[in-house]
Amino acid sequence: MKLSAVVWNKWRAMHDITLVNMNLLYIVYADRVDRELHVPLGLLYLVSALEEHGYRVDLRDYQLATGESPFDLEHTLAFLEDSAPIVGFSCMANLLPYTLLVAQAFKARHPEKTVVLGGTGPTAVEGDILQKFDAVDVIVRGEGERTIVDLMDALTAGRGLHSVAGISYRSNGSPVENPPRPRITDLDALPWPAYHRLEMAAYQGYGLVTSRGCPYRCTFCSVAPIWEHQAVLRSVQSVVTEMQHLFETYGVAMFLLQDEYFVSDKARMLDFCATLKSAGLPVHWKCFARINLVNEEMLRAMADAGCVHVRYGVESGSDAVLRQVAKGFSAHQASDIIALSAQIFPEVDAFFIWGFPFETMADFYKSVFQMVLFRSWGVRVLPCLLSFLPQTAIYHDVWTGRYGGTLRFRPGLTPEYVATGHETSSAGRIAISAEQQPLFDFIAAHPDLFPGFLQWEPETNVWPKLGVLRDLGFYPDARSTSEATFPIRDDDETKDQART
Amino acid sequence: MSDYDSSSLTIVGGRPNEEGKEPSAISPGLQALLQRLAESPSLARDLVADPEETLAAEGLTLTPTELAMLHYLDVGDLEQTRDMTRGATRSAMPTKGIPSEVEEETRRRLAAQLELVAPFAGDPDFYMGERTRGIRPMSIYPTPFAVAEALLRTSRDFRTAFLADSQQAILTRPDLPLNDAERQALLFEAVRSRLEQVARHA
Repeated sequence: MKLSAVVWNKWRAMHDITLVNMNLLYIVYADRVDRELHVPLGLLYLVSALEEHGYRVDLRDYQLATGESPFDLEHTLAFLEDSAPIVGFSCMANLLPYTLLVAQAFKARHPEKTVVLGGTGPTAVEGDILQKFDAVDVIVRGEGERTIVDLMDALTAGRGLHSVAGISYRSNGSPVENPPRPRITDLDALPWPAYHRLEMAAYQGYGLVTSRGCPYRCTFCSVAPIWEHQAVLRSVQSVVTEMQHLFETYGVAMFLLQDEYFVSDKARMLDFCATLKSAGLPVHWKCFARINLVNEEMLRAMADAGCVHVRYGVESGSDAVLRQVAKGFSAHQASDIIALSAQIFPEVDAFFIWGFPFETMADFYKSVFQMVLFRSWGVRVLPCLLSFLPQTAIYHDVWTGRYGGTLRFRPGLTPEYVATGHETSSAGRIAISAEQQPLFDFIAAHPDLFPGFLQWEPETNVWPKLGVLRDLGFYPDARSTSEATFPIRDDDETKDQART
Repeated sequence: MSDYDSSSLTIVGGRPNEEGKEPSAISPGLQALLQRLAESPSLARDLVADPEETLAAEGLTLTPTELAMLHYLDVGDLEQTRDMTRGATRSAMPTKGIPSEVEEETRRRLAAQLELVAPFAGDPDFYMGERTRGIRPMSIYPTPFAVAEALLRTSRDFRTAFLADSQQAILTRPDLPLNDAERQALLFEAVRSRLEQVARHA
């Protein structure tokens, strides 16, 4: 791929690449919008890598420019005005549909620019995207720090992309998948995220990663397959030093350690707690933990080192389901650790997943009992409808017919993981306005690209379970509230997208 | 189609699920049952053997959905209720809740925020500075917003000067025994708080 010399020279004086964060936490209610602005850590790592190699990066975070109509294409295109000749979008699965719509509109307006896609959203569906959407030129797979630099080197030198590991791209109209790039094994050697490029005061959540990847093989999870089931850890000292820098430079006093494998082993955890404590920082932190990897000694050490909030993926109260999804612990182990945690930490979250194809009503009721029990202990219970993300083993199993049945698209039944921000929630109901309808039509037209939005056998597997959760107070019961004053989308059979 | 009306059902579980409200509490009957299960080792077996009769004997009433759930549970499931009781007997358990020193720190920060923001409270525009698209302004603008920029991420000298000149009152207050990092944190919090306030008005 070769850039026009005229275009390149015109923009060279300003920026070499525009990187756009399209990850938003954005929930629309009838009377308000809830937003939670988190530092876009992934892109900040890329910015640092590019700057280290002399590239000038134009960083744009769509979280900060959503305005009153964030999902209005013209609004987004205006946000992208004056971008560099190479534009990279980063998104997760929930905003992949909108990001593709944006990429199409952007490319139509700026055909001379190179559009690059990255993040977890396009992972595993790169070929389909390149096949169906001419607007996307390149997709970066996996860790981007080294790939983006190689890609920029190739693009700016006018070289072909065949030698850039870790990308998929279009060549002569056909998708080409280059070999994967080996994982980065020395995370300490990476420059810290480019915090200096953000208005840190504008954010509410300050994430940090102490590791990348997860070695477990939970069949519903996309994290481990994306990272090839391998975890790479940062050194404890590196993490604590970064926390110190963030505190001293930006006043960050509450951190979210957002990697899934933070609690990787006892020795490392105790070392982290001791090192953080000895640093004397008056900070607090939240983290994810794994039921089978923690014990009382570790939890106490964490609390002593400033941890105030622990989040667990409990997933199910049924041992049969836990075995099926390869979770690696039992329901009783979960209740033991949750009980202990509830007494040690001010805040504890327990995530549950429901709607598995193999989850019988007996399995489901066991989960519901745990939800009730944990709630009675003061734990925040977060039930989530299963999302069939394309990277996951369970999606593969459904795709190959292991469980029979069909995947269907019910726009009013969006799994929490892929909530797009286009929905309006009122009294526990989701409504889709006419102006947002095109996005859902787009999803319905491309079920192969967006399987995370589909539901397995909604009539028999989802609605009855949802009814139980409503009856027990885990979801508001729309029937007990007044009718919404805005139109509810007609969820007719013709919109179903059947997949076996 | 099932009996459920798809147009009136939806899900919002893993995110805030109702306008500003906490999820419904556990019913009194279920709450009482959980409590008694935690206290009585034999109750789980009785419930599994004959739920209706055991509930009646205990004087407990459950909703139809709660009763249906009970029919699917085994003794092991019900005995999980005792995990919390067992956990509570563990020795040297730290007190749950925000430690008092954290509360004190929060209080101090709030006090300092008020002092910082008060002089500018009547002039929101003063704080707005440059509208950006997530791009850090490349130059310093003559507003407190830019001052905050400078304090937060540019020159350490500028930061020191600002703290010395503009925040003398706070920094010298004897009841705010803060180190440099804490003072920077205070300023950060104050500016962020003020910006959020301005954004809400906008």
